[in-house]
Amino acid sequence: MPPLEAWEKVWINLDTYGSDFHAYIKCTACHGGDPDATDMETAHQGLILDPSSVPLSPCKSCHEEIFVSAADSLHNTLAGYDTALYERSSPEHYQALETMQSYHCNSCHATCGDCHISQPNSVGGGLLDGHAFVKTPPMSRTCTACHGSRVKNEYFGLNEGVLGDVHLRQARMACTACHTAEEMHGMGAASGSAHRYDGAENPSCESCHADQIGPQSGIPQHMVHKPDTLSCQACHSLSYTNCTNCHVDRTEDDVPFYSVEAHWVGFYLGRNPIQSEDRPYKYVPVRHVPIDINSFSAYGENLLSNFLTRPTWTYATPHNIQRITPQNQTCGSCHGNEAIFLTADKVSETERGGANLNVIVETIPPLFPGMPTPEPTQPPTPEEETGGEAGESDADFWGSDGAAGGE
Amino acid sequence: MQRRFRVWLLIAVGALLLGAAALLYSATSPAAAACNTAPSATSPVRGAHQGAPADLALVQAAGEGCLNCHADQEKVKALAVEEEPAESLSEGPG
Repeated sequence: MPPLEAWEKVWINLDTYGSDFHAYIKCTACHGGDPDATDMETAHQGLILDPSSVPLSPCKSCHEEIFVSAADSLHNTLAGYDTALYERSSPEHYQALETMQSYHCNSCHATCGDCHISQPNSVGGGLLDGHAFVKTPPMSRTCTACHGSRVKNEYFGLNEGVLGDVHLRQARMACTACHTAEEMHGMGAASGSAHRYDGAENPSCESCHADQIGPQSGIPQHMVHKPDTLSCQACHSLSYTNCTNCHVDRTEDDVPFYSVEAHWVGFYLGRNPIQSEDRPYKYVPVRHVPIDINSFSAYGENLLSNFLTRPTWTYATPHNIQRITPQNQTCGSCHGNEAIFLTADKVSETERGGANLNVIVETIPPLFPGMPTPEPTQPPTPEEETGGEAGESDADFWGSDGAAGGE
Repeated sequence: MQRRFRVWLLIAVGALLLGAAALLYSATSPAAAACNTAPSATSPVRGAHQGAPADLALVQAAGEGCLNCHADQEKVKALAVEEEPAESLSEGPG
């Protein structure tokens, strides 16, 4: 995503903004400042850069239902982080973790304006379309601007040698095709979530592919595996990014920074650590999340005192779905193929305990006599794919910058 | 008969007064003040990309003096200052 120049960030384009209903509202009604001033400095006194971020946001005046839900959504509360961190810690450390989050996580809160008016602050901000209010946020300038290192790389096919998601390459589906406004604003099933994997799958593959699931589907692989054996991603996703850890700290000038010692692209099936009626699968892809026991040691000793109460290899839903993948080509691509299962030897010794024991696969599904094991063929390369190339898309699809990747 | 008429008259006057009070409140409520035309939360809002050009004179008026600079590309190019990005020591995928 190319950075905006300073003037582009604040230039109001009357061609777009001039035809927006919101243009009838006085600038100062939302942004404050001094409308009678004749010089720039005085005019900007008391300026509110992002009016949607303040408690008495003007957005609420007209969009109350959405505003109230969004204020309680994961995008705004970042409750998923709290859920994960607190589970690994204990109450006496919560204050220190809050301090850590105020430096390293709070810039990720998404306000109304962060998606509908400007690019998120975490990527430098700047107006999306000359201050026009954009009903559907453009994918590459809002969604993947924040969800970059994992979702964007997977979905756009930016991990070397790994195809982008078929929903993008062939169906040209933007994030919002599956992740509805209701979900994004914390409404309906997403209301009051404490983590993105709370409750039923939302979105779910089944909402579009219901006829392809289960014994009545006519698809041999789907007929022999019960629907509660494997998540869709277990057979239909490719390798994804795993991070060994992440350590956060601040410079002497209080500038926060992080460092990830090592990361790699790999694919592992583990036992489902959050098995439930909503997610009954026995095996799911599991990803090593960027954390270790000392991730926050700059903010206090032993803050993650219950580190392994939660697994470090977690339930994952990689965003690089394909019909054909290396693990679903033949029975033998998965059965008896130890390389794709998270066996104990793939887990670092210090993490071989606690909740990870519920994820580690002790005995991999065997290759039974009679199971076909034809020579696996390589999955198609991007060049061989007939679907649309990512870079060919029009600007509106990607979000006005006309480019899928690159920051 | 006359007594019954007085009761009905009282009820009618009371209803009128209540109606007038409700109208007055809606006209002066903060929500109405912040959004003069106050569409409901779910009503379709005519907006950008929906082919509903607004009266630019009204837009200019709503913009007070702000648009004199912010809608003038040459002026914002001259006045906008590039922020010096803080040196980031971060390493690895974010």
